[in-house]
Amino acid sequence: MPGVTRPGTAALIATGCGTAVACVCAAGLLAIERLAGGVWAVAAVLVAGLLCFALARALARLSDAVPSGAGLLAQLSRAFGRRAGVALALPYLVLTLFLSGAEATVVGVIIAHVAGVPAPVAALAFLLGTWALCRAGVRIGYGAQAIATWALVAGLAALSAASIASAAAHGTLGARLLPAAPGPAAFAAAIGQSLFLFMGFELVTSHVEIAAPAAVRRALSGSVLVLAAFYALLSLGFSCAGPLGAGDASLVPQLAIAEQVGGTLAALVVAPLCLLASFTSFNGALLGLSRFTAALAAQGTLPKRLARVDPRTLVARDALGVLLAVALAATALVSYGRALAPAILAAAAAAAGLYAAAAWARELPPFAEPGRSRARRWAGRALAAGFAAVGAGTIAAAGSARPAALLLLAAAAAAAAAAAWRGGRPRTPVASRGPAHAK
Amino acid sequence: MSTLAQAAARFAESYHARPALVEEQRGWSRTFLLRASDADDAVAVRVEDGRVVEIAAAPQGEADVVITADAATLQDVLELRRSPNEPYLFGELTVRGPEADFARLDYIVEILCPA
Repeated sequence: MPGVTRPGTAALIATGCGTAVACVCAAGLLAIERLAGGVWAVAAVLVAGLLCFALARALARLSDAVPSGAGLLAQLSRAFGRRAGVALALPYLVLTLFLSGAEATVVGVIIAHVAGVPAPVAALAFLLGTWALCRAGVRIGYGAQAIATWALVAGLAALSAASIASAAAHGTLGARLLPAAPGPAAFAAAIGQSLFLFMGFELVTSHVEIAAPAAVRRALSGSVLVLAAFYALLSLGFSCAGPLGAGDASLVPQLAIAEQVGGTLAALVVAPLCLLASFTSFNGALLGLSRFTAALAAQGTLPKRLARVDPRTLVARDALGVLLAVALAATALVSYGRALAPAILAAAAAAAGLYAAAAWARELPPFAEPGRSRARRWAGRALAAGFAAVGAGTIAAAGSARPAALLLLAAAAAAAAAAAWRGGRPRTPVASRGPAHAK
Repeated sequence: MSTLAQAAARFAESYHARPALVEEQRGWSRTFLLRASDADDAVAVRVEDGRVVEIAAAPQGEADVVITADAATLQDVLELRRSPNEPYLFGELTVRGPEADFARLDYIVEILCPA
């Protein structure tokens, strides 16, 4: 590709981490702390990281064999067939979109915290502003994404280090890091929720069209390693922080900890970093999902109108409008329907299901090499079973959030089944239409 | 001229028959390589300032965008019997190159072939 700057491994790792690290992850990490605190939370994060590291190798193979920007939808369709591919991949995408409501809610609370405006107004302004920039065709480049991601990672890592140092200075480090061991069910649930923290790293594979395959391979594993180290440190910092209280503090624990260790000034430094990272992540997600929505519409799965692309910006504006409407509805549900915990749990379970399908697909044609050993094939299937078990455990241990989480999962699965039914059948070219050059 | 090259020539003819569409692409200059994954067939299409200026049946040198699919799929897309979106979504057609260029190509095919 002459004249084209290919993103290298570092840029792709920043992209993978930037997609995974969202403001809502801090709320997810706090929920893990409440299930299994101290070193147990770190252990849960590391077990999830280990599973994702093994998955990264499988994803690298999928991406090598079918290098598609359509990602896991394309690869699962090749392994299991079109309908199964849609049915397996779509719930994850639907719940990712729903998570945008959780992210916007958290962003609203952050803005409200530092600027004093009502949180719902701030969330609305964030969504509308990001949407308007996407509609105008503004795309965040790899460099800007990397700056936003590393600034947030460095900021939160520094915050954690300060929290750990403060606990050590007060002589409470041992007690904070070594609480009573959680029960097996709580620990399994903590692992399941930890998967939520890694969600999005796999989207590195969607850059395979522009990046070198080796860079994608390295970035997949590298993203998991960076994320595991970052979340482990963050988890220690959360464990060492004092009581954070309920309400807004449980939505934005990063600000509460910043205020504990550095006062208002620290919170004023952390807040813009969170907002910048959210914006870059949201920009990429909205543009990527709008293209995907337009592709589904062009293919007949969604109304044709959504396939229209603006010739100047090459943005599917109608699709983007629908995504905004869904994000607004999700934000209202999370803000007023107390759907944050169910959204996180449902997303974690959907991620586990998708990752299980990806690990299983790795052992099927066209991805399994002819000479692949029986031991490796069984190891791949065991990884798939492990993800499925973690997903089931996440929902089983969801407590009072279980009904709402199951409802969200059922809604996403129903949408996926409908899409699979409408769009999954192969289209035979209609010879009688004739080539368009005759038009 | 190979089957793929003939199909590419017909595609260019359809495209040039839509002056407004060509005008929209002013300033766009790229080389596309279309490669059949199941046959020894490939074709390079060079676009200069929004117009197709060369179709080479035996391409040499690097392309900006490489599109790979089985020969039947490529032919169906070039002869506007099928949108490239469908095989792309399901991993039967893959692209290597900048997303913006594929998005523009996709837009052009969608206009020519409102499937």
